[in-house]
Amino acid sequence: MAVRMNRSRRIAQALLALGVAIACSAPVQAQILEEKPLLAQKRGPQLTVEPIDTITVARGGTARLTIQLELNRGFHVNSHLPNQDYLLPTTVRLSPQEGIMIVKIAYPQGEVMKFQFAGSDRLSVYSGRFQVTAEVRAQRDAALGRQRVHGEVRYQACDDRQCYPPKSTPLHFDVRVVRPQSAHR
Amino acid sequence: MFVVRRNLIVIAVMVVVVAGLLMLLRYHPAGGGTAPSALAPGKAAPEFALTDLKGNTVRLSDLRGKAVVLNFWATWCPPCKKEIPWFVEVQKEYGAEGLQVVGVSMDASDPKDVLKFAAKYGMNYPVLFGDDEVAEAYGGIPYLPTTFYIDRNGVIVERVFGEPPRAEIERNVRRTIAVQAKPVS
Repeated sequence: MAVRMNRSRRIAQALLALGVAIACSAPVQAQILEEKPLLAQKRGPQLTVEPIDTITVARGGTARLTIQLELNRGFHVNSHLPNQDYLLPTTVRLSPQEGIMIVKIAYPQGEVMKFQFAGSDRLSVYSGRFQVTAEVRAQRDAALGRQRVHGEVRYQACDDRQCYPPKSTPLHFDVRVVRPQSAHR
Repeated sequence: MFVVRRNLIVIAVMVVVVAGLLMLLRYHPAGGGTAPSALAPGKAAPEFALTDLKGNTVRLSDLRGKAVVLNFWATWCPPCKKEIPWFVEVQKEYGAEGLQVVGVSMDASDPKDVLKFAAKYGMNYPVLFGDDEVAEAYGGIPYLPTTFYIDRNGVIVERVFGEPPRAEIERNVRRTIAVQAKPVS
């Protein structure tokens, strides 16, 4: 009985020592991982577009389009009007079909911020949630019914130390063209 | 006896969980590009053949015998813009000791923008047009700036992600030029 107890204890001690050794190696492993850029990329900037409800617009009329965007924490993108000419602006591009026009695209004003990496340059940026609005205009002869508008948001993001290549997030929404009298039904 | 067995089970479960977590960290998928560990200090810098601003092909192997600072940058990148004058300075200061700074532009835009930028910032070292192949070879270059310090034997001495302080650049340059070239066998 005593022999079995000692054996069990030895096994328990060996397993404990193994566990401690593995646990101690974890911080070293984590430190190595921090230096790996490709892993960091997994936590890179992501600009997401909230789903857009169908926009109903009467022939010859207009309707408002709101694109709600959200950038993950720790990153910023240049505003649509960055205050340095070498910076790439955030831009929404939409490609409606014939008979539909997207006009008056309005971007929010950027927040003017100072970053250590930009030296004395002050940058105009967006971060967190922001929205871009536009006007959807249907021509008098626009085809009745539903059509899909595709587009993209192009942006270039940085965190407080480095910058990421320009990216684009696709977006789409449906426009329902109706006869003038049924637009507000 | 029961207590010992219970402890054994608890420890065994802990060991399995910790080992599993470590396996996950170790084999975390890296996205695209060469595994970063292949680009760690002490490893051979991957060969490349890229075109410079004058249309000449420049290979890393052409620079064997020189200490190379390989800086990936882009015109739209504020931290790159901040550190480029520092690379101009170290090229002036350490060029006679065998230092060669090489800029690899990751701009996808008009090459004229790169030419204009290089002239504006007085880049006194070769500026090459980067491509997907070189980015892949050097770990994907998920963000900029990314700089590799390569000794006279083509071995990576240091890699730096983001914009470091000026003193760190100088420290890395000194470390890199201090490595003597091995006789070619």
